[in-house]
Amino acid sequence: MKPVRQKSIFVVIAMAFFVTLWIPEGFAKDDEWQKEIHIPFITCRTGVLATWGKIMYYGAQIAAEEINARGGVRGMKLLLDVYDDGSDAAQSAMLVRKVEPKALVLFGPNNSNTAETGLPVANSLRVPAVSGCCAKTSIVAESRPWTFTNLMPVDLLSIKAAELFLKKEVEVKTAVLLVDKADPSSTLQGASIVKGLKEKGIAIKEEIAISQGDIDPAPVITRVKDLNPDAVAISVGAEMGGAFIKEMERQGLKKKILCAQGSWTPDLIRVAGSAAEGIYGINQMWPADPKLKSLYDKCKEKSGGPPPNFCSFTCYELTWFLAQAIEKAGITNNPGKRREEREKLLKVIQTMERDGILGKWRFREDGVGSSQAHLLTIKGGNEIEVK
Amino acid sequence: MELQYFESVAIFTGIYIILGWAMYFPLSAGQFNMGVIGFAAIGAYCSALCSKAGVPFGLSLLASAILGGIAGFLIGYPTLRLRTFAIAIVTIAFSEIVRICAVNLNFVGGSRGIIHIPFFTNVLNVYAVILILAFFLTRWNNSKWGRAAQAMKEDEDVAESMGINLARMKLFVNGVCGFMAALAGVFFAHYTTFIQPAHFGFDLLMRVCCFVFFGGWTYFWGVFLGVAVLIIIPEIVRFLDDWRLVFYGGVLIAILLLRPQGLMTKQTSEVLRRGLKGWLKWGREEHLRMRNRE
Amino acid sequence: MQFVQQIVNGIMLGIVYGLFAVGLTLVYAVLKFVNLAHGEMVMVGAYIGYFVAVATNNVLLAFLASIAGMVFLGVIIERCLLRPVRLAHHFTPLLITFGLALIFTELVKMYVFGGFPVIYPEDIRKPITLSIGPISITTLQITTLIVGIFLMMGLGFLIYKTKLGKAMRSVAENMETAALLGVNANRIARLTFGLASALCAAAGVFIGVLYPYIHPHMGAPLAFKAFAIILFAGAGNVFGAICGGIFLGLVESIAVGFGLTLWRDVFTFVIIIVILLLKPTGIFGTPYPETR
Repeated sequence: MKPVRQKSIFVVIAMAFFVTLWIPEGFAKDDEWQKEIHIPFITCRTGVLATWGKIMYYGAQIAAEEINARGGVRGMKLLLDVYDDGSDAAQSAMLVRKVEPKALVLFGPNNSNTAETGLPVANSLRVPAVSGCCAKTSIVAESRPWTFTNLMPVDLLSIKAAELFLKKEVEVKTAVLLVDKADPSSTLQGASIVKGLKEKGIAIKEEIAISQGDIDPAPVITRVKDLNPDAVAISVGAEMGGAFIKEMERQGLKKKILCAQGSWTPDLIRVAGSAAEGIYGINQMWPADPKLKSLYDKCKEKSGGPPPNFCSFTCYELTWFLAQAIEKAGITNNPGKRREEREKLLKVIQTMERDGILGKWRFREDGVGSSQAHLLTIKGGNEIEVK
Repeated sequence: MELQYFESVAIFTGIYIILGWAMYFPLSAGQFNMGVIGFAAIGAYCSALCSKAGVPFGLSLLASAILGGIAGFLIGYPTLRLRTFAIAIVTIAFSEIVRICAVNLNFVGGSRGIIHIPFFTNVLNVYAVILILAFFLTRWNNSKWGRAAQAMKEDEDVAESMGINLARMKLFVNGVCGFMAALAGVFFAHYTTFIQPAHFGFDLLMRVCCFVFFGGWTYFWGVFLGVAVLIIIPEIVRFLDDWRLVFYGGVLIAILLLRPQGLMTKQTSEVLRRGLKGWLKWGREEHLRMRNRE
Repeated sequence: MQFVQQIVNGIMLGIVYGLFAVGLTLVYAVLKFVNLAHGEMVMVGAYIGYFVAVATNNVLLAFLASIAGMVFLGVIIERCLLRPVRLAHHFTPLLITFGLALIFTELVKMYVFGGFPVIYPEDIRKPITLSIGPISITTLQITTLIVGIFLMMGLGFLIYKTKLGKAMRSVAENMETAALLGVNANRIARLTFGLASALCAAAGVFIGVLYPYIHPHMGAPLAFKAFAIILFAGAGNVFGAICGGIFLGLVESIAVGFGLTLWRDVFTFVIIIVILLLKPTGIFGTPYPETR
């Protein structure tokens, strides 16, 4: 490259760099506080967890649009400002510190791994923070009183899963667990399912550890064939779980399958394809519920194809909850009164009960949302609930 | 913006600078020690366990750093006879083994990691350590050992024939690398109050490599500049939403194409001292000069 | 224990690993840097194959189209991004490929089905399982084995028996001397990178066809395994890369077969370290004169 051209390109880039330092922040200008309530929505739009982050956002966004369509909250529009933490726990802590000063309440960080650093920071900065998809409920239990999550505690859910599953499939005596030891949520859910099964007297033959880079399910399934259990519990990530189920069908292995909440997503069902017939999964939502069909379709439309999973619905429900709480607490959104309004809102969040798509629910003492567990299965390609 | 946000950006910058210097130091002696992540993990976990057991911060900082230094020293032994690429591989493998052990051993929390580490890091701590390290690095560069290290980097055989004890130098350099990386790990653990094996994986290694080589691997202030630029850019371009990482990759590529030798090198810093005007002109000539030397 | 079946599984997996390790080792030998975007190139190859397969429902066409697309992409990358910095320190092209990997992953995530996994069309993937004695194997796997072996033989022929291969080997030894002797180093570099991209595409399509799904983040762990393979087997050695791949596949399958899944990855790394300590240039490596 010619010296002159190199020099000028470099000067241009350096100038652009300094100019961008002065780009105004996309946050509310202070004089608009009477018309809009801005809630920072911290999620993963880039990085490994981007698919979860984006799908969650669509659910919340639909709720925000519905709320604004019927007049907003106390006459003010509810706007969700998306902040991307790149699936990185360090960045989420930085982001919480960045958005806290002007925020009334935080919606996020919305993923177990990023919430691990973000929620304790929010708690120490004394701003209410609700997380839509934080499966590690111990985080909010330890960051009291300002943080909440409306996902059911993973251990309770998995134990209930084992119970319901065994009620349905009584001939199961032995089981094998497929778990991803490098992923904390998977390990937690796996450990809980194992505990639940053991309590009911099922013998766990082996806990097979899968690793992220495994592209071929064949060796693992051959091993499962070797062990010959009655049931297989899956707590690995969604699409990998689907791959194993499909491979089991290919190798002619007919076992009863139970999937943990974190694995039970549309991806699993899609990847497993025809092999998904008759598998069981536990979830606190039933996304394919006919009563929720319009919401399901709206989410699908917004995302441009991929169907929503349970997190989209929990975030939808949480947005409505926040709107209701803000109404009830009489929030004026005056920046001068932030501290008091946060306290008021906190009290309402702690005590309010909402009747929404999750049924009647409220936040418990330990900051976790109460809701019900559904045992779901696939019949004829459709997700139905097992009563 | 807000003070607490700037503070957190400053602290992360500081932590990455220490990590970058940990990688830079063996590099300046010719050793491609990629095990900085493993040493940082060791430092972080050790100090986390100490702090949770009630040991005061300063003590656990020193203890973990020394442990990291010992680990670095031990890793030096197998790599004494290896070529540069092989050293890189063995040290990467070491980092991965540390990480996998952390995942599989339950007393360090398994894949969940350690939570509730007391919060001790602040800007003063980190930058005080950075100043001390900068002082050490400057003195090192100007001392006979610094020159010996540079000789070793240029040509090992000649250096040995000049009487430099290669083995001792390599071990020392690797040990200091481990020491510095462990320091960074301790600060990281006590700032995010939560460490997980996933934090110390291959992508952190790549980021540190980026900081070092992007900023200029021949001069230790290059790391400073590299970290500053590569941390601030993703923060500034938050308005790009989904395109943020694409932009980051693009900027990395663009600037590397323009200045393959890194942003700041020793010659460049000297020129800067003489005046900003000469800098851009020197960039091109310097690249040619370096090219001819290779 | 289904030992024999695990061995078969291991070999099948190993062939796929070997295919993409070969591309990486070629690039390292001739161009002297590690291509960090290798995994992502496999991923892009798989996605190109996916689109063509969905449009035409023909595996062969998807395979060829993917190879053509990736060669085109590879040549452009080499010309624009790697040639200017070839003579710089060998970490610079590495970081450039790192940036490239980021860009590929994020772009695919943004534009293909929201970043969720995609599955190759069912018709292509309907495997017919044959049972030969105690083992079961599918027709797809047999096809992969045959095509893989052909590719390797073709590659071996190219590198060791043709003039082009000789030129590549001479550039691998010393680029400047080769240029002095009349080899067009730029052209060889471009060709090598294109060849490596073609191998990536082949590996990508195989993965898409054999295994249940592909997703944007599948590149990184695969590339990591490829690095492990070429280190263990000696950089620059095509035969070694394939053998290393098969060895890795076997180790993984047998470890799973014995129920030692937890420490599987540690085995791999310990083996690498031990071998590198005993023979620093890798099992099949020849001692290179230290150039950098």
